[in-house]
Amino acid sequence: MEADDFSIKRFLKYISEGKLKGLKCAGCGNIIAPPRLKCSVCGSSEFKWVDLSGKAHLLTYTIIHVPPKRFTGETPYVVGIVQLEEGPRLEARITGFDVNQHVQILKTGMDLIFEPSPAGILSFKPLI
Amino acid sequence: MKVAVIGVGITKFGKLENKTSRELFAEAVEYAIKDADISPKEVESVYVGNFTADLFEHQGHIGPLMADYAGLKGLPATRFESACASGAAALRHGILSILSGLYDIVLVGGVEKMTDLPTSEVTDALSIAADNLFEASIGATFPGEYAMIAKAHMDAYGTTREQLASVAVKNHHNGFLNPKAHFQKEIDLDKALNAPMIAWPLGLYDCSPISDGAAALILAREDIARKYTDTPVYIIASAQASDTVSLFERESLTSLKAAKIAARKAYEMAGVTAKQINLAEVHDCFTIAEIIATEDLGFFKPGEGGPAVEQGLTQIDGDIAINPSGGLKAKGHPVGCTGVAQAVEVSIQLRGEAGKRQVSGAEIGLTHNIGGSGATAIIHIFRR
Ligand SMILES: [Zn+2]
Repeated sequence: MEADDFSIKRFLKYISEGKLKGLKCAGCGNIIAPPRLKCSVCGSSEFKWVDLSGKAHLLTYTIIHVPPKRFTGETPYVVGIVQLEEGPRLEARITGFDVNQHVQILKTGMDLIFEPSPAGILSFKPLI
Repeated sequence: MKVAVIGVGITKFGKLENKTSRELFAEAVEYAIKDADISPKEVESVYVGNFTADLFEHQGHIGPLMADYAGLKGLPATRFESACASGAAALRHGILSILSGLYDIVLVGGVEKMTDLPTSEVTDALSIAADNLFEASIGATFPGEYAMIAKAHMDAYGTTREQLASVAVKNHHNGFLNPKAHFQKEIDLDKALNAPMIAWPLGLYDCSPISDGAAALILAREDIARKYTDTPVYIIASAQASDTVSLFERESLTSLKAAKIAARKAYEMAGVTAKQINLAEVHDCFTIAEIIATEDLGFFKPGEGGPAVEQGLTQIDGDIAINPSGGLKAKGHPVGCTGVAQAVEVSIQLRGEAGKRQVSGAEIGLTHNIGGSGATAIIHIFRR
């Protein structure tokens, strides 16, 4: 059953469907993303899926100029580490702005919002 | 603990078109056996560091293959994989096998043949050292992971691109003095700063090259070492730690926690402090990695690694010589070979045989070998 499937594959499938969800620990309320078998705070393995707000802030980023083979043709693109409002950190594409202006536009700590991507790649865009 | 290095061997590093990994490995072993002045029959077991011949050469089962071509067929022979720290993982297990009392003499080697593939496929192969589900899948590359560390270090401490470039200039100078180095040319700051971007803020000269190469060590029980050599080098600490493979789940983006843990354990085991280390071969897969290494190892305070290299404190004749071999940056980085090559350089330095790049009066040396973006850290300390 979808509701009982707390797997990494289910998490990634939600993202490919344009939904950002996390696991809420029944033991302590901690939000977990990506899924782990046990809550890192209290050790419980009782969860439920919850919708995440999609709000995050930028911790660091890079501009990829030399890509892996399968992303050839997409350069330059931005990869960053974001911290979700609910706590977890994720690595994601930062999209929705002119990459050549990244020094002016992207600021460490700035607010971002989850942006569903057609390719199913986890993406956030700056809130500007 | 004490195990002795009684022989070392290393091939030329670089784009060695006509050589396969097995030929490189055999060459390094031949040098090491000659250097130790032992018969191959005295070697009891073989430990091979290799990251991914699977992807680079479509070749698995590297342990026995390397042993066979090196004239050591019949011995126990196993390959160790810990991404870019594969070499030090092999070394550590060679050490442990002697300390267990099982063997008196073993061979540790490291090898990687990377240049058969075009750059885009090498980039793909190296990215398997990151978390495939959450990092590689979104298009993050290995330089990209270190670029994000560099950006975070710049934000936290004001580290500059000029300071990163100073690492490249220093290591190219040292490589210029090392006949086995991949690059034997000096560069200046402008050249480093104006090179094409690989993963902003890291440019071409912030990255170690794609290299072929092999290295080997003959290890012996401490109490028999002097039967073979007048200049044994003793390994007085071996420490290893791990962290999340994914960078985004780490506690810190400006320091490698696994390296700090391994360093603390290594200093404890050796009974020495950071101040007593005369030279260190550290894992400068990217320039930022050398700066952070010198902070994680306690040579400089957090944030002071950048100014230190800019002021020349880490040159061969500086307060502490960092990467006198040229490091991964200029000597080259045949991934699974690197940890063994670092131990070869420290051994040569402690014997006083490093020629133009000799660190004068070197008594204690350290190697710092990192896997991926910091998920594996392995540190060894050596004394002459
Ligand atoms: Zn919990």
